[in-house]
Amino acid sequence: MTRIVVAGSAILFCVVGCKETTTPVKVVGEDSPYQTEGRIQFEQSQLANLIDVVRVDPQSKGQGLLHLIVTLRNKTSKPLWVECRTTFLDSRGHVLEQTNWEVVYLDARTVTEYACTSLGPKAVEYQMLIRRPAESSLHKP
Amino acid sequence: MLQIVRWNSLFGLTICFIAGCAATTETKRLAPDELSDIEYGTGLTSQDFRSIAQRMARSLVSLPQIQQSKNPPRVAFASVENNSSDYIDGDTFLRKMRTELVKHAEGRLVFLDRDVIQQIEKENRDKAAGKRTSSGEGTPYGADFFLTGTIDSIDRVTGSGRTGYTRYSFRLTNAADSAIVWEDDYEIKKHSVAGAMYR
Repeated sequence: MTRIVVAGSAILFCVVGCKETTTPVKVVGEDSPYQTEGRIQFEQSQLANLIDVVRVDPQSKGQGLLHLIVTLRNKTSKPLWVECRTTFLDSRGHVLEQTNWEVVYLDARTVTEYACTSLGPKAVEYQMLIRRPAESSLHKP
Repeated sequence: MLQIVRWNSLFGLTICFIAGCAATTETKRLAPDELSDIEYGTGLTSQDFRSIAQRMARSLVSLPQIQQSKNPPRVAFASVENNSSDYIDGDTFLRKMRTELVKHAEGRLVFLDRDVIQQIEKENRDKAAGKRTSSGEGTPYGADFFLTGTIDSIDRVTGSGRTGYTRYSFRLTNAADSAIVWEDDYEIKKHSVAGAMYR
């Protein structure tokens, strides 16, 4: 009798355990998730000690292209490599296009301009991320 | 005797275990801009490739002749000349630029697919002969501009060190009068030192 109960329980456990379950997702509402932390963001907080964003100049170009010019100052006494990625957003805050992580060289103790133009005319907003290249990128060109 | 057999069995099992571990392969997915652990040297990486194509496409689409044109200019490819020491198919840059522009530029440029021109001509002949249904006469477009480029490099090798400078330049040439209406470039310089194994 005990064996039957144990076997039955084991089969029931297997059946219940194998059944796929779904979990309802609670949507965390954000109006513009790409800009919640600001239009320009550092991916690593220590970058704020090395670089200043001294000017941001978005402008319309041609037939409605969004042209972004960001001036960065390398505050250190050594040249820096950073990677920048710009995401262009439409009027509803959705992604239209995104650049790849582009390597940018910042001369020591001076300013460097990073410029990026949208490919299409519907871009009205942007988000720009700046990060240090991965450790491997620093050692392997 | 039995002990020898036991030791041999144990040795065999150990070898099998080591060989089994060595044969195990590991695969991981990388982001297209990420460098893998084996990307040594001064050659082009996927991140470089994407940066070049993106930057050139964005520079090209900003051109006043393209932005102010009432009818989208028609662009055909002319092969990219590779004078560098690296084996790269230069036309792959043009194809990536075209993809970016067709995806996002909303018809500001029309690209002509000359790769399939023979099939198009055959199709038109078949349509004219009544072998295919036709929705009207079609003549392949002529190009207003040719998009092309050049890859040049300067390399220096000393002992285990290698320095490579590569310049990727692209230009848009007017098909009527050969005037260059746009040109831009992207320069990369890299230095690498090979480990003893690779010398």
